[in-house]
Amino acid sequence: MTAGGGSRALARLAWRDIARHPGRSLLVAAALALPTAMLASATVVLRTSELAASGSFGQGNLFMLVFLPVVAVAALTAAAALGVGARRQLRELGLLAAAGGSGRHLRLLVLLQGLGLGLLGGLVGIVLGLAVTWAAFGWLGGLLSPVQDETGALVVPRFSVVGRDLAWTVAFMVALALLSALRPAVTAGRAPVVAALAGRRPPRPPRPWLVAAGLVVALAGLALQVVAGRLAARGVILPVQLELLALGSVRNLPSPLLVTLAGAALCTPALVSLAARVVPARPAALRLAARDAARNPGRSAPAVTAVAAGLGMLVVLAGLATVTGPESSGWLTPEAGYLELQTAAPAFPPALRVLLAAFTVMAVAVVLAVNALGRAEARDDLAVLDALGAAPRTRRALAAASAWLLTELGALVGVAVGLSPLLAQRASPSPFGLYPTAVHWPTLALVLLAVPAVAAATAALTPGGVSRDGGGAGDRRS
Amino acid sequence: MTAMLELDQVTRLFGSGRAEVRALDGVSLRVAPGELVAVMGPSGSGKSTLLNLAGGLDRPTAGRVLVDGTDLGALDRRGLAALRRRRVGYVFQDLNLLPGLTAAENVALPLELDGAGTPKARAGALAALDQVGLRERAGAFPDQLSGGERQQVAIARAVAGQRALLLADEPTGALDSLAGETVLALLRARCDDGIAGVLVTHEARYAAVADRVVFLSDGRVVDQATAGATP
Repeated sequence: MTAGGGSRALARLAWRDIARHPGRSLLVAAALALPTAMLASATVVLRTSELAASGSFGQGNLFMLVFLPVVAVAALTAAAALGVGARRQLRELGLLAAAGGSGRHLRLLVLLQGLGLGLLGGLVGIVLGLAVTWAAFGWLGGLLSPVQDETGALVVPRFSVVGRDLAWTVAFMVALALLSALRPAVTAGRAPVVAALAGRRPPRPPRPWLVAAGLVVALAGLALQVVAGRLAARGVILPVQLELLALGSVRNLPSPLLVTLAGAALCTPALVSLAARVVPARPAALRLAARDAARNPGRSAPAVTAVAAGLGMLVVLAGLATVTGPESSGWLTPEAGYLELQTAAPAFPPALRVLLAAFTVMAVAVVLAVNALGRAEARDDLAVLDALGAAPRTRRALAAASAWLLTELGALVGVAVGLSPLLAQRASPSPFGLYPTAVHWPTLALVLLAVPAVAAATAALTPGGVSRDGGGAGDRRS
Repeated sequence: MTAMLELDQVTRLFGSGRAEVRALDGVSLRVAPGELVAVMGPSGSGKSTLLNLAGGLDRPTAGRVLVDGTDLGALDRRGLAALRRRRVGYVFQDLNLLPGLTAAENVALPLELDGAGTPKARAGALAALDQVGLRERAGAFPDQLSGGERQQVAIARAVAGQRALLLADEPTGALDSLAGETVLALLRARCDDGIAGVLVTHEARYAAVADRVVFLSDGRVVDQATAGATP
């Protein structure tokens, strides 16, 4: 008999754990469902519009530039939730190890939980994405030109699902779920058994190299943005893969923006740690929230990054409204028979407003979700607070402070990333005004002031922010 | 007789410098098959540390730990995990069972982790549950069992398969006296079947079921006695 066995037992255990924690499971499944729904929908629309646009990848790239941050947000949120789950299950993982589970078994358990939730969320996402696309196809179809088939006859685009596309979507969904579960799984596999049995987390070694690596990646992203701007200004056409991720300019946005975002993401644990050191002693709720965030970087850093991705894209998209010049762009408008970026856009086109609202809601939703995870993780601490006689408003203040802090940190990172195309434009002035040329101040105010305030207010009013019975300090099972 | 468990001059230090704590200091102990040894001592005397080292959950700073003749120092993490699946069973004070699994599934878990097929592992689990008199509760989840029943299931899991060493850390700590005595009787019965057992307890009346009692203080063995001579 070998240590390689037990997969069925672990799958059973993973599935039961998923069912035993419906709130957390729902959060992970929903987070993973969102990008899957987008992808399922896009495979239908893009395939059709790609035909209509005679092979142009413009829409595909534009979609990816919005899609990738959504993927990042989803993966980070799911990773945070799975990480909290693994930490709450520390004692169970310890029991599993004491019963002879190896590091591989522990890793496999967490991965199977992620996979199960990914499949669940992914299937819901696919059905949802296809259903919404099907329902909206009447409107969408009107935007698409008739296509020429092999005989040269004009064919009206129609809703059709290609099996191969669905297979890719399923593969994406599985990969995303596994990616989200990877870090929590590795951490679980390394947990010392004795510490896990006692419910103690293993000490987290300081990782100063992470900040250095983050800064290097972020600066590399900025440099690539400058190069991308120059290439775009000279009209250099690159292979689509390069254009998308490394050296391209997708319409008016430099795609290395995503590299800059990745670099910033690596710096977020240090940022959270720094915040805990610099926040003032009062209000006490903010200090406690900052300390909690610093003590739990596995939860807070992904949240900050997720917010930064959402709000950063918001800043970038708003920056488009500032673009002027012969090559300037507005937003998606139904001209020339297919979805196209048009010139001479109004100051803030309706479609852009919708996207701005969507990214704002997404950022606030992420913060609230992470706050709920934080409450679940800090249930013992909150029970101690209750035992010490803390009033219900103390919990509300804590929830609000935590939401504000995470959102504000995410907003700061998001603004830095979102304004990086502006820096690239200044470093590489283009006569065509390819990138945003000025700061869109109303959006900055929205991102830095309004969104954190909304997140704080919503967290304070969320029922989970108020003390409830049943979360005693001794309850370590959930 | 060959010892099933042997600790040879085992020392375990935690921390370093001024914060160094000597949890165990040159402890030697031998437990033969079929023998139940109780370990007593005040809080912080090193009882749980001794148990963790005996089961391969932790490694000594100095000295050797041998289980069934195997030097645990020569095993890597994977080897230690395999040892826990096959030869060593644990019973803790509380929260012993995985709440997502039924009693039978909890008992079958080490067997399944070791590669046994589900039917075979289940058969082994039911046999172990039968030994502790809980076969009819095989389908119950932990939160449907009483505290005493949960400990009985934990004992069944600890002895399922070919386990040769049973380590129990305050297994009666969360139980009333009647349930505690039932659990102790089960431990005694398993040792009478040939398994070597180490029982950590605070209570002398529970230690009385053991063949031998070892007293620890500040990480050292300060006294040993047969059960009949327990103060």
